[in-house]
Amino acid sequence: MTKEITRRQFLQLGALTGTAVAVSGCTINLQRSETIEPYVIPPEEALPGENIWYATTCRMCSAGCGLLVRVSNGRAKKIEGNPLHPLNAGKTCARGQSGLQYLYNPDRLRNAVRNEARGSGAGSTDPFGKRYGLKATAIYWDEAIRELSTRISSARPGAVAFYGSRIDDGLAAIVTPFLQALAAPPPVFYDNEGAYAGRGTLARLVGQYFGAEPALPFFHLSTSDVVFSFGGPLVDGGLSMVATSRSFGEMRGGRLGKRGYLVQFEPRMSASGAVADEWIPIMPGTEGQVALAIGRIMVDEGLGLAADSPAAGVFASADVAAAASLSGVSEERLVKLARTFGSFDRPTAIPGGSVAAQSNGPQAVTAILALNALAGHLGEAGSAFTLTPPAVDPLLAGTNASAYSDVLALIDRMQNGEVDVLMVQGNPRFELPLNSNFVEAAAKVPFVVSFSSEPDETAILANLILPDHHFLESWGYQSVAPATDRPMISAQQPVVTPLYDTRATTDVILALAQAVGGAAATALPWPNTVDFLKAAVAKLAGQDAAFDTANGDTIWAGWRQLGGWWPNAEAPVFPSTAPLLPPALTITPATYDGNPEQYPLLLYPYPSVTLGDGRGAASSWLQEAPDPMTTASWDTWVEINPETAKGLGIVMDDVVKVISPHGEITAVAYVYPAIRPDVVAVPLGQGHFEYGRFAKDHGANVAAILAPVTTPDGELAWGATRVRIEKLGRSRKLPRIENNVGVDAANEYGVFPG
Amino acid sequence: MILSLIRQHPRVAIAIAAALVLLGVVAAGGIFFLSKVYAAPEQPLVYRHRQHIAAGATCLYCHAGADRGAVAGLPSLNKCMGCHLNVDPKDPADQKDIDQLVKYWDEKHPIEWVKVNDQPDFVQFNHRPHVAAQVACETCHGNVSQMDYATSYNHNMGWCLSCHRQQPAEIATRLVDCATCHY
Repeated sequence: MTKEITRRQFLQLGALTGTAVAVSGCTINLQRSETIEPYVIPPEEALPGENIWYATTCRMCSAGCGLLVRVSNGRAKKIEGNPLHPLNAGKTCARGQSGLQYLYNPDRLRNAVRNEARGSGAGSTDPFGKRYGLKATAIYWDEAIRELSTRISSARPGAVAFYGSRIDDGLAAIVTPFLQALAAPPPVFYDNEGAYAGRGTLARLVGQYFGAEPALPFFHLSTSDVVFSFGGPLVDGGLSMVATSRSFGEMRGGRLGKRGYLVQFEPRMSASGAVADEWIPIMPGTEGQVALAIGRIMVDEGLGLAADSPAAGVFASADVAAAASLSGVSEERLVKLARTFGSFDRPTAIPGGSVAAQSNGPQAVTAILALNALAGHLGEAGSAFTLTPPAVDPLLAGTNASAYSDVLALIDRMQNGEVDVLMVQGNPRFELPLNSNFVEAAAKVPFVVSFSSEPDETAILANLILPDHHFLESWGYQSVAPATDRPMISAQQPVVTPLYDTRATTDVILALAQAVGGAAATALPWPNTVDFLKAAVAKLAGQDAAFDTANGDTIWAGWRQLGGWWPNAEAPVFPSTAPLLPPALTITPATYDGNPEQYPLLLYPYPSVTLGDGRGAASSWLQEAPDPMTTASWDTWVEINPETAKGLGIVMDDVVKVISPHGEITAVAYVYPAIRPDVVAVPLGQGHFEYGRFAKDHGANVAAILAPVTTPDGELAWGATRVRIEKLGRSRKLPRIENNVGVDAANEYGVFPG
Repeated sequence: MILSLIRQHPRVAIAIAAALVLLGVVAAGGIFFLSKVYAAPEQPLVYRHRQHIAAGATCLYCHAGADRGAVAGLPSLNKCMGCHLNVDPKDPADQKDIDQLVKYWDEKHPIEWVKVNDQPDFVQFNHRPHVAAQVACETCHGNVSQMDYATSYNHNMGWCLSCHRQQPAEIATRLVDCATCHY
């Protein structure tokens, strides 16, 4: 029997339930449960809820852009460009912006560690079959420095070595006298990205022909009306990406009252090629011949100032027909190009890093530099290029980048057992070609120390890892090179209290100098980096500046407030107008490593716009940022001309092997119409098997398979390796915008492990 | 009269009685609710404003942001310890509370104070102009020197405007503008 519920009973029950709910609601805490957690130890100058902006210097590459960092409640929140800094004038690039992700990288080492795996054979195997491992135990800093100083003291004379991956002037100024005091060869600062931009070759040749000392040129696009760029990255890389892009913007924006005209010579269309008025897919290694041919036509036709130019003799023996057949640029086109270059008032020719990276690199760079001399657009206001001014004082000097031959010399010393202690700031194991044998050589060094912030590929080879501070936590300076229009020294200062128990490498070296004693202690008398810097910037006394340079105290205050020192007025160093260029320059045809029968394609590796040579790979922002030409991210691809791809039966997203005589990598095929059929291009940057969760296990490292060929001036000829492509019979969707494969969907396609 | 009402209109009388009882319950609930809301909240650590002010600490010594920024702020633990490492309590019975503070310090653990005064997110309050206009702290926060725990005040819009309206004419117009606080 069911009991009927009357309307009245229903309403009563409803009221009861409602009341019960309301009463139970009253037991909820009526007070706000919001809490305030004041600091245990507050950051200096911090005011709750108020932003503080600190001026410092970017260290994401070697350019030395000025930054303003917004710090709120003691935490660095946002990186912006310093608008007063003459190099970047308030701008930053994507890599600069992502500096924060290195500060907050969850895989940063939080204290000094001893690597128990070294020498024990423990660990796993890297993609090239080499054993590695990290079995870290934390140690106290005092113990670490004691152990390292004992190792240095007991090393044989001169058997201490230092390898740096980035041009860091503040560090070099402390490491160089340290090694000198130990009677060891000078430190090696091999800036790998600089090497891809032809840093060493450019500085040497410009110094040799247009100045007195090696000096990096800055090419002023802003005051040029036609630019012939031979593989030079103008908007997507190079030695000083922000300054060059800014200059490019001014050229296009009509600073001269007209829109500048850009011709880009490169085998694979980069973003700079895409924004050019003409893209000329030239055969790599023939840029010098083309430059000479253009110059020869200018002289012969008397274009512009060419006929009376003192540089005319350089082009005397140029063979236009030969240049045309070698380069794939027709004679008619060369004549047209020469007329374009010669008929403008302010033409500029830029040698890019890919020109310097051939067996005939120095000759080709000379020919391109000579075009500037021929056009007569030098040595005056609006000069095609200016030179980086010499250092104000030896304590504030810039660092000369080491050549690749210096790296090989160091590796030889290591191989021969001549190095007892190796200190590494950087990641040579990842950056150098596999053939340089860095790993085998490092195994022969009894004691290796890494200063890496993250456990990267090189750090795990070390006995001790003494993690450096992040650049937003430490002191330093960068003598800007290439500098645009005046000498500049960018100031680096901590904007936040160090997050972890790390220590500045400069402080470690200064402590070592005191512990070792003798000549080292005398050469480096400063107890810490701040005292060193104060002594260094005091040398600016009496210099023209935006702040009072009367004495050390006013300089120190102004230096930190403004973010460095530079004169108020432009002070460009012009190149010589009568350069002592070689007469009747001839260019040896480029040679490429590998048998053309077996390896029919020429490999064109290029630094990724975002990841650079691989240092950017630990940032998820940079990983996710699409490549400007392919829109690809998170992986490594190989760009193949459709005609070549068709011949090999390759379609988009096929997984292929890129095989050189020195190794092979696996990459995804990207069928790219804007590349020569005889060239394949692969971006650098991926292929880490260590270096934190965002970097590891994505793509492959093309630097590993480069031929160990050097240019006549001792640089790595990274553009001279032949390869072949083999299909693997499977495909993997490249995460690119057209594929709708983003970071999440990429998991599905097996781009990520797990 | 009430009796006659009950006799003549028993239903009306019951309705009125029920209404009165309901009113009473609502009033009691309201008082209970408000007393909870405006009571000094329970804090994780015994801290007495009265004793600190009597010992000579000024408001700005601990709430150092009030004259410089939007937020007055709470003192950092190392500021607490700056005194408590050197000063013994007047009443030895308070030592146990200070031991609790030292425990936080030893563990380098921030104290999770419960927020007392707060404004909704649509109100932009800034201490600095108020302190600069020489508004005394107790005008809004009461006589803290007589309180143990800070108690919350009903800082509603009427409260703000009652003071803003009294300002000299040349600034009162701006001070009663909506966008002064709601932007």
